[in-house]
Amino acid sequence: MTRASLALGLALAIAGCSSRGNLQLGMIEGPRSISGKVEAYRTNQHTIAVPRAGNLVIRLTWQDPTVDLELYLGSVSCPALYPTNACPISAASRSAVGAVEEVARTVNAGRQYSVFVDNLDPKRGQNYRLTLEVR
Amino acid sequence: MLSLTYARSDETFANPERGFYRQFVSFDSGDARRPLGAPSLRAVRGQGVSIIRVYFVIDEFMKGPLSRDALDDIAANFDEVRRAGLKIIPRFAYSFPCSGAVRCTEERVKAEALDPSLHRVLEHVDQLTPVLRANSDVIAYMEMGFVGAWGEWHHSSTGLVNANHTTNERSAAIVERIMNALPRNRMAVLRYPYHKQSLFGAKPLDETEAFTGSARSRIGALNDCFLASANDRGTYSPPSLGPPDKNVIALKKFLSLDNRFVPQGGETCSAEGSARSYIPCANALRDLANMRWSALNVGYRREVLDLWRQQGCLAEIQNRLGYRFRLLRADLPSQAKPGSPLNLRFVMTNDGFAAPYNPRRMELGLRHTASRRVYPIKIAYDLRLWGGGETRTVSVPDRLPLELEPGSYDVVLSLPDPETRLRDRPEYSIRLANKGLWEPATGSNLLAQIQVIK
Repeated sequence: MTRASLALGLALAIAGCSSRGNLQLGMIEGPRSISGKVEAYRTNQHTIAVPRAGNLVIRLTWQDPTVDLELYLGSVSCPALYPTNACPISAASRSAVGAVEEVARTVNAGRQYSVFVDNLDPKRGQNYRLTLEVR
Repeated sequence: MLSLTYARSDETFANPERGFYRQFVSFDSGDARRPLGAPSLRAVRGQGVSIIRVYFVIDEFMKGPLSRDALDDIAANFDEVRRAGLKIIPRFAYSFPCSGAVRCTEERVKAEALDPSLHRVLEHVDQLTPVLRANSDVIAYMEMGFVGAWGEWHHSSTGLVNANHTTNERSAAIVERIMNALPRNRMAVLRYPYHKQSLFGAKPLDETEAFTGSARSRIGALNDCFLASANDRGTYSPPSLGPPDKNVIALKKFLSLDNRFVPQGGETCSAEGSARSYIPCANALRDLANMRWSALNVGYRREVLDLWRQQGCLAEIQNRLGYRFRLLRADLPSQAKPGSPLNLRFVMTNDGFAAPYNPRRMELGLRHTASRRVYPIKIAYDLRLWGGGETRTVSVPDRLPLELEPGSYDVVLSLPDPETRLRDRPEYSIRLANKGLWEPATGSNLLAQIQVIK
C-alpha cells in the first residue's frame, strides 16, 4: 500500500480552540490538513481523533521563518499548554530556525489528542498549516 | 606529509575576554574613589582571571556634569587595566542600594535607587564618550548601566525605564547614546532580554546581521540573578505578556539564538529558597551552554560557586565560559620550497559555551628556528562565527614566502588581539587547550616544525 493510499484512508476529526478561550472551529470529518492563524504570543489548540493505529505524523508549516512557532502533541485532557507541568506532552518539535516543525508518534485507533501550535513571537501573528497523516 | 594529532589539556588558564571575572568598585557612592591598583590587578591575573567588572557609581554628579578629575580617574583605571594585561566590563550607575546591608528589601531599594534626569544621563554619556573610545581596546564589553538600582534597569526614580519594567522613549534614547559612544567593534549588554526585544524587535540576530556594527547586532545579555528561580528573578518575566513558563521558554530560546553573536554575562544572586532547584551542576551546565555564557562573577554568590566545587563542575564551568579552542589534528608537508603551496590543514574544536564576541586575528607564523625571524601568513577566518561545540577544518593553501631562507621552521598559530596596543602582548592572545603548544613568551601556539629546502 502506498503512502498516498494510506493517507486517503485516514479520517481525522479535528476541532480547534485558542488558549484565549475555547474558540470552536467545529468538527471536520475526513480532512488531513487544517489552516489557522495563531496570534502573537498565543497558543492554538486542536483536538484530533485518530481512526486507526499507526504512526501519526504531524507537520506544521508557516510562511515567515523569523516568527518562531512550536508544535506540541499532548493529551486530550490538557486544558491548555501552559502551565507546562499541568499538561502531559507526548511529542514536541521546537526548532529555533526555519518554518517547519514535525512530530511523530505511534497511536492507537480511536484515541484523541491535543495538537498545540505555540507562537513565541511577542509581536507578530502567523498563518499556518497543519498536515496530519497516519502511516 | 606530516599528520599530527594533539593532546587535550584540561588545565585551567586565562584567556582574553572570557571566563570568571572579578568585581571592583572604583567609584563608590558619594565621593569615595578606589582607583584600581597594580598589585590587586596583578593578583587577579595570577588567579587565572582575564576580565574584571568595575562599578563607577557616579551619584556625586546627579546634579551636574562629570568633573575633569573624575574623567581623568576613570581613564586612569583603564590604563591600569591595560598595564595588568586584563580587560574590563565597565558599569556606570547612580546608586548602589543595600550596600553593606544584611537584608535587601524592596522598600530599601526603592528608597536608595535615585536616578538623575534623562538630560543629565545623556550629558554624562557624552562626556564619557572620548574616554570609552580611547580605551575601547581593553573593554571586553560594557554593561548598559546608568538606569535604576545598581544600573540594572529597574526601579528608576525618574522614569528612565517604566515602573512596570517596560521601556520608553527615555530608555531608547539612553541605549542609542551609549551604542553611539562605543566604537562599532564594541558591544554592550542589557539586563533584560525583553528590553532588547521591545527596543529592537523580537527577532533574534542571524548571520546576515551579526557583526555588521548596527546597534542591535552589538547588544548582548546581562543576567545578574542567574539560576535564582524559574525565571531568574524576573530576568525572563516580560510585563503582562503571557504565562510565566511560556515567557521563560520564549526568552531563553531568543537568547540561545541571539547570543550566538553577542556576549552573555552576569552573576548568580542566591543559593537559598527556589534557587536550590536551579543551581545544581546539571542544570547550571545546561543553561550556561544553552545561553552561551562568556563571563560570570567569581565572587558572587560564593555559596553557588562553593556548591559547584562540591558537586565537581566548577573547573568545567571555569574552563568552558566563552570559547575554549582545542586543536585536534593538522596535516602539512614536512618540507617545502619557498613559493610552493603550504597546503596546511588543521582541525580545531571549540569546547567552550560560546564563540568569541570581539574581533580576533588568526595568523600562521613560520619562525626560523635559528634566527627567530617570523614570516606571518594571515588566515581569513572570523573566529566570532565559531560557536561552542563546533568542530571545523581550516585550510591554509597560501604559498610560502619567496624570501624564506632554507632551514628549520616552527609553524605557530597565533590568535592575537587586533588592537594596536595589544597585538604584541601575549596576555591578549588566545591559548589553545592542548598540552605543550602554548608559548607564554610569544603568545603563540606551536603546531609543528618543517624544513624549508632550496
